[in-house]
Amino acid sequence: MNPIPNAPVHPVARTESLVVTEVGGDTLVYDLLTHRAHSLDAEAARVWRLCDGTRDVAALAAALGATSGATSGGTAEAVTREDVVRFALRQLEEVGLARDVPPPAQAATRLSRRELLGRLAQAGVATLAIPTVLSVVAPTTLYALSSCANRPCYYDSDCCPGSRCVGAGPTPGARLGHCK
Amino acid sequence: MRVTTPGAVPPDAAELRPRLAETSPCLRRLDQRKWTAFRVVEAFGARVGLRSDSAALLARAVARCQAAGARVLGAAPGTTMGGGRDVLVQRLLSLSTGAADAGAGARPALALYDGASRVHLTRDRDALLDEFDAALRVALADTSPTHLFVHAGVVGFGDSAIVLPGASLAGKTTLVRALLALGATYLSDDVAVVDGEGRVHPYATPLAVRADADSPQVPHDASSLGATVGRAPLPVGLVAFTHYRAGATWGPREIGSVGAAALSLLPHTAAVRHDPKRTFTLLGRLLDGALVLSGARGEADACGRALLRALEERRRQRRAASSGARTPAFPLAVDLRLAGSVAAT
Repeated sequence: MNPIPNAPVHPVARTESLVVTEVGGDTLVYDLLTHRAHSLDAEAARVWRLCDGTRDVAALAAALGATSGATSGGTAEAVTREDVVRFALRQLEEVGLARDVPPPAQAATRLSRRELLGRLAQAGVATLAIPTVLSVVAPTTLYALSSCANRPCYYDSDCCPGSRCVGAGPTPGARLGHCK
Repeated sequence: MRVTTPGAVPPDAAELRPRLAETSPCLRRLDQRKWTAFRVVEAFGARVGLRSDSAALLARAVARCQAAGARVLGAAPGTTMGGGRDVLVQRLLSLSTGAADAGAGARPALALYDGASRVHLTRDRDALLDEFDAALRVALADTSPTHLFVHAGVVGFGDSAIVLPGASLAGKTTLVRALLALGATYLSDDVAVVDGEGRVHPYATPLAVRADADSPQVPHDASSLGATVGRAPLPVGLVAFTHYRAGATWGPREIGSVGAAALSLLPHTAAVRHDPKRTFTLLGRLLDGALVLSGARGEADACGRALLRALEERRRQRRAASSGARTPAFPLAVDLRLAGSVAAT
């Protein structure tokens, strides 16, 4: 079924198959399905936790204002807060932590971090931070601890990606080389 | 952790025969080989079994374990299982000289097995033992219930540690050596072992020194380089992500967010896939209060001096903060520029 155009969308935070830990004011999230780790700063984490499927962007922005203790600002501030929510939602969706995220308000305006900072400055909103979501792929133990360099080898395939086997030969298997 | 003096093996240690809780057809086939020497070593709460068809080769492997801080288990009460002399281990490393497999006139190939998997085949004993070091590290990192292993060089300076995470060829050993020459104590060349309080323990295997990028690594004892080996765990004062770039001057940026710093450490951290909750918690404790810097460096000596100054400055700030005095914001860039270590921007 196609969604109704312009109907309010209620983002939902993914909660299953995740390990969530708070460290030093940031929220670390481990995705057990993709083996990716994410770091959500306080602002991104607040948006993520508010995505319970009952709030659209405007309601999320209002709730974000309430949880951050901001006083009710003018229209400009409310619009800017919605931009911040959209910015956070886009990042959360990209890393698979949220679904049912609305498209950007205008198709051509996917705000960059710099543009969002500019809008915040224009609106004179000093209490809002730019939400940040960082991600890395978690390594296997072998990959994390291996010393690829100097590993004995016969073929390039014996070495880690990006390394080559030098000094082996002259026929395959005849003499060991080392990864470089 | 009690560290057994290198070479000192409990007299009844050879009586213990390591075995894994689970077996497989492949492992049973490997078990049928003529293993003649056995040991069980324990470190960081993990127990690893060793066996070989050569007592001399196993003795050298045990010495490597002891250098890493492992102790050799004797047949003390409570260490035997099932009423026999078998000891359950979490990992089993087997070193084969290949003598039994070699045909007439053929030079035997040495092999290292982790469980039933052959992880290395060579004709060089030293190469086999180097690979054994790596396998032991991975075994401990995978199975330690209490400690976290991060691929990093570590030195102690005063009452705190400097952690230098990095992949191979990032120049960790060069920077560790430079810091040792500046008076730091040696904790590890290759792995930071983090306990439940976020402190880093010694894992003082010989430094793997390479004359240049194309040369093989040659092990050097830290003491032979004139350095003192640290014996006690230390809290982390500084984490520095560096990579060598010819001609670069050390102009680091500070990673202020604990989450971002933890994510930067993650590619160098073992066992995160097994236990992400514990990994995140221990990384958070390691980073608690630590200064985290990142950047390209030129010569190791200049970078080492700048790191020690940065650590001293962080200590001064923390002392001032704990005494309630007002301090200015961290003047890292100013200090380093005064020392001529940061390029004008």
